[in-house]
Amino acid sequence: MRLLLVEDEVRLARNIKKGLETIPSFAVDICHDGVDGQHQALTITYDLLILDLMLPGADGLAILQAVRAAGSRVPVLILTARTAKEDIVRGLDFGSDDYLGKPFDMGELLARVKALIRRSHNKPDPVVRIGDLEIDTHRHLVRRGGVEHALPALEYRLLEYLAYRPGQVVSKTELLEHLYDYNWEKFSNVIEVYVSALRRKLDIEGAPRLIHTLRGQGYVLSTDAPAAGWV
Amino acid sequence: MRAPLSLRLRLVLLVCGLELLLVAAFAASIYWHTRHLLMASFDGSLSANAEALATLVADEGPGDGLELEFSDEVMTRFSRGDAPDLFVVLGPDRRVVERSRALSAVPDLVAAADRATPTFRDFVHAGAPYRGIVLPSHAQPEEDRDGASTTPITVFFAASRADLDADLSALVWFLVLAAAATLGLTVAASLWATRRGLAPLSALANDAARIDARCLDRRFVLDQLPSDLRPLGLSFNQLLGRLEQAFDRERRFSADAAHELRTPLAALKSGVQATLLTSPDTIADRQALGEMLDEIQRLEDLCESLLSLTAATEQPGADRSLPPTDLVAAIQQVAESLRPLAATTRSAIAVRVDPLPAAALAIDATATRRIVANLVRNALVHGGAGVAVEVLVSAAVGPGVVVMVTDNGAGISAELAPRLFQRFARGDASRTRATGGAGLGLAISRALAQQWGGTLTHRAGTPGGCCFVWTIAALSQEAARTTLP
Repeated sequence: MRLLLVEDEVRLARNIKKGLETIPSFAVDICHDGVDGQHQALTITYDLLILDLMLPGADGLAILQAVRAAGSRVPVLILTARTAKEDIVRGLDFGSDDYLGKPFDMGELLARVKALIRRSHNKPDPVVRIGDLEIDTHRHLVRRGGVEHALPALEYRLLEYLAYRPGQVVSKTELLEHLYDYNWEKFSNVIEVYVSALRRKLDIEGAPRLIHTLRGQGYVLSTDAPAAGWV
Repeated sequence: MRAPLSLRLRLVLLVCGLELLLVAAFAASIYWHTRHLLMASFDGSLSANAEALATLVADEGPGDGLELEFSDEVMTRFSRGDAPDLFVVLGPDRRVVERSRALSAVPDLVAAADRATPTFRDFVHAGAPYRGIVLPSHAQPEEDRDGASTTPITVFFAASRADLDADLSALVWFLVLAAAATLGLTVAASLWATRRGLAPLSALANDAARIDARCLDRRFVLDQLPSDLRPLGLSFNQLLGRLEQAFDRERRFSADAAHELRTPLAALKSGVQATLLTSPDTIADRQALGEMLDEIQRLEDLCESLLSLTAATEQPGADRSLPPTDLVAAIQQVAESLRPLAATTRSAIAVRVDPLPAAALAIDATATRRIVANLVRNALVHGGAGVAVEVLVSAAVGPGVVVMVTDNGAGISAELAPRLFQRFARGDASRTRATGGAGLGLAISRALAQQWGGTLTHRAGTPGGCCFVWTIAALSQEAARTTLP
């Protein structure tokens, strides 16, 4: 999952990114400025936005309004020192999904972020089950065929990303865009490497493969029988 | 100092006072005019009778003198009834020519009267009021004489004025009663009329009463006010504008203060927590980081306490109410949540509820929990070990509810007692962390209580220990306090 954090306090932003990236699911982009943040939020498809309210340039609510006006349903968590009731109500009314006051507990932030992402994919259960594949998004463990795997961060991230969209075709570009922060390399064969690794670990002898390839289009995660054109 | 009269009363008194003067003047003029007419008529009849008598006096000549000739029936007229007419005819030498039977002597006034012009006199005869005329006149000359000699005579004629007086008296009564009735009707009519007329003023007062800090952006629509009230409405609007600005300044200050205090704390806390998550497992490092986190937590708690104290003293109580049953539920929740803490010092918390009035209370659940938690926690932390804490919820003397938190612990020292509710006041002069918190709890609790229109006080328990008394106003009391009369 790719997250955008718009926070003008440099150290705080760095600490939040550090904390979020202890979770294998997340790659985090940071903007320290409201105008940059708004631009990035509108041009890149993020899986979640974390917005501070008091920002130089555009303030958090303006960014939120712009994002919602563009039709995006990306989950938004507002993180701010302004916790007066009116501010909270206003933030939620403008279209945010959650609100956390500063100073906050890092554990609480991580839990809320994960919950927001789960909810945005309509998967309220922290354990994602697709067929006989189980992904525990809380402990970041994967189980299939009775075997439990602790995957390296990026393999887990890729698998989780596909698992939140079972049966949907996801292009390589989309995967690249959502698995990395802005430092991502544009070499697309790194995806194939991860997919092969996942197949090696999770595919079961005799059963259809977990991750299918659609030539020229992308990848699909499904435990059903493959459709035409799936490899 | 006595309260000034209400506008209505003032107007009514003014109108009725003026009317009283007018009515009095009017009644007086009617009275005098009518009296004048009645008197003139009476006097006219006296004159006529006196002159008629004068014409009956004949000068019989030097030998026989003057004679009064009238018939017996006429004579009896003067002896009829208990207030008969009276007459005296005097000759030129003041000798009585004739007089009515009822008169035993010539009244002095006749003798003293002016010889030249007719005079009218009031007097009392045989206990009755009379009015008479003393008429200088001339006797009729002998028929066959020449009209040369005309003997001067004085005719006195008087009639009872009892009827006249009765009429006058009746007139006075009538006028008085009419005036009283008019005034009475006017008072009633003005009371009603002023109430209706002053209705816009009451409406203005009611509108003003509904404005409070939550809706300071409301203004009076001046066009809808009567022209007399427009200056008042304009002043109100200006006042509201100034208040709104002041509140905005305060709100902004609080928001800014919050931001400035919380942001560095957030950076610190997140830094320590991120390091704990990502970093080294050496026990010493984890311990150091854990301690930093504790200190940051303490700062955070202090910061939140100060901010909530500022909020409680600056912002008005919200427009909510709590039924007494919910109040009790909130208190019991607090007691439940603090039982583990109590258990660590072998103390106990008991909640007792007396019969309570049904009226909704001016307080909300959050404030209730904060205040009660603060009071109970203080008792547990400062009272010593094995303390019995009791929270008693009972009806207040007037409307409203009283919550008393009593304990049988160490009590409050004489040195601390006078400054107990001050910010940062603590029993321990060294302010050692081990013996307590920052000293803001009671200041916040009292500010919260007062924000909702209640009070928080302390009195020494009997025997020893503490007794905190928190009074909560009933909602209608609170509303009455802020409504204009």
